[in-house]
Amino acid sequence: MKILIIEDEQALSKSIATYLAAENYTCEVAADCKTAMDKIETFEYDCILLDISLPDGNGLQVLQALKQDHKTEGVIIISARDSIDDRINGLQLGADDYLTKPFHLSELSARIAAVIRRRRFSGSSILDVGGLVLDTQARTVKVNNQTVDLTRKEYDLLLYLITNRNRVISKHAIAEHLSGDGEGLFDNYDFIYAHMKNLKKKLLQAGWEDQIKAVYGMGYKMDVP
Amino acid sequence: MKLLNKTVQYYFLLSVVLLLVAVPVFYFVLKRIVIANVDARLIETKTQLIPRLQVMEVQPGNKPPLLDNDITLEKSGKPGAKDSLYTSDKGTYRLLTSYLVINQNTYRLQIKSSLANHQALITSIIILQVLLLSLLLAGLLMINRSLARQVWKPFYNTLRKLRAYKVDHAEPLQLPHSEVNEFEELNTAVEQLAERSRKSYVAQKEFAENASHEMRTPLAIFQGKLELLMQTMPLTEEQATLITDMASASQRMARLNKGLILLTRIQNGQFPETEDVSVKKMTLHLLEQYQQQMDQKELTLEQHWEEDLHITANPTLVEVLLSNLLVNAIRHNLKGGQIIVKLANGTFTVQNTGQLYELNTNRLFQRFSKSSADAESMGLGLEIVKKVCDLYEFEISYAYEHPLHSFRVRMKQ
Repeated sequence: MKILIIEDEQALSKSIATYLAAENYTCEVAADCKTAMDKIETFEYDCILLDISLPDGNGLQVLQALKQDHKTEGVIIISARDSIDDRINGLQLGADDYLTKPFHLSELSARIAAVIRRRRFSGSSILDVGGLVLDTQARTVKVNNQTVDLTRKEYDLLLYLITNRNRVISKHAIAEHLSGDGEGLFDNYDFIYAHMKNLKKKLLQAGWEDQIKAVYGMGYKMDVP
Repeated sequence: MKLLNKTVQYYFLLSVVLLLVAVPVFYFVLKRIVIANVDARLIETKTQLIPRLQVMEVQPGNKPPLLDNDITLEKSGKPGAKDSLYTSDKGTYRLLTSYLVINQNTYRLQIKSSLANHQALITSIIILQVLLLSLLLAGLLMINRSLARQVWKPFYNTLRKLRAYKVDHAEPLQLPHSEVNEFEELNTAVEQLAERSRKSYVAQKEFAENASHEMRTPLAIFQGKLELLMQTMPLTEEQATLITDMASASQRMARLNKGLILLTRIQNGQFPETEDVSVKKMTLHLLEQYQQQMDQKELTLEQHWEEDLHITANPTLVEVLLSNLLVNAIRHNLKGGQIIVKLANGTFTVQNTGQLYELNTNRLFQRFSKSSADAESMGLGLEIVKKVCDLYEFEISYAYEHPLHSFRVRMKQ
């Protein structure tokens, strides 16, 4: 899967590329509008990460060019600006998602996965990972062909772990992801433990072999060979 | 005391003193003149009378035919005395006494002239004068007052505009032009002052905004690198603890940054869209979101909904307002504590148990005034609440009613 990162901060684009590489994404980086335009015209991507403030212009130009060429790439805007106007502007121009800096790489990865899933025409909404079968459309989880009844939060947590499999996800990222837009108003991460405990219990009861482990109070990691 | 009255006061004082001094002086001068006049006439009468009297036959016992009521002629024993002029005891007559010799006999001639008429005249003149002067004084005062009011009008205009002026308003202070140099100078100076403070306010605001935005990219880099660091192998527990602490700090920075940007955005009036918002509905929704946090702290929640309040406001800001109050009530609560949420008479109240002393009310709504030992509280929450309240003219108040901390927001617009 190919991803284009249009971002002028090298340190950031490198981090993103490194993190996503673990997911078998191939990442290319464009540091300005011109390079980005060239790359878009020449290659096809599954997802484009787009920073709005670029040295040689506004990233929204790239988005407009994409839509004019009827390209079908999914676009996620990553911007330091987060006013509602900026969001609406970006989404109206055809972006699929809008992520404000600073963001967690795990969150970005989850958003990319969601965009790609939505964009995929094969219609396959089935994720088969490590003995778990998730239907992302119906939001159901099956273990050994048995449906496991999860709450909304537990399902979100599981999907988050799966999209970020084989990597440590910090508890901060999980807390922010689970509490949605009213993110991280509390500095209390106990509720993650509670959700995690319930999730694991339900999956284990269904006969799943536990592959989620806590990493020294830092976060969680789901190992899938 | 008004400056206007202050200046008038001195004029008034001077006028009254002048009036009090001038009227008696005038009276005495007038009286003197009248007496001198009367005396001159008496002397004239005497000089006319004496030659005629000297040729007249005087028969003792008979009244001399020439003389009338005002003139008396009597025999007198002491000759050669000088003429004398004096006022009668009651002050109604002026008398001239003269001695003359007729047929070797000394006579005393007395001529009197009534002062009553003159007295009446003087009195009328004085009354008229007092009346005139008083009228003049009153007129002067009135003219002075209205003139002063007229003259000071630009000053009061300036004052009024200055009072209404707010540094965070977009439009600069504009004062009306004044013909008077002093006021024109004052206006210019005030305008310059206002402009300077507005500019520095704007600059400060822009700085906060730009700094907050500029901080985001490095923060994103920092956070990203931390996440990559978490993936490194092998990872010891010691390293993991360090990374977690750093991640918490970066989380705090990110939140602080969000708060600052939200504040500047409220101050910039960047939430113009309003709609009908149900306070009850939104609060219930938020409470549901925070249920887990409340459970975690084993808090008991008490709700009193005596009405539902619908306000016209920006829903994002109302949510920010309510959530900040509720989150504070949860965050600063004690384990096993209590939260009371109330909506009655257009007032939204959140009460919670917490530390057992009153918060510093002076600094409560200012940024970065931390109220508890909770190091993670960012100290921006209540300022944001205050700003939202200011924007919609809600009244917010805090009170400590042992053992509850109460925040009340009067929302009825």
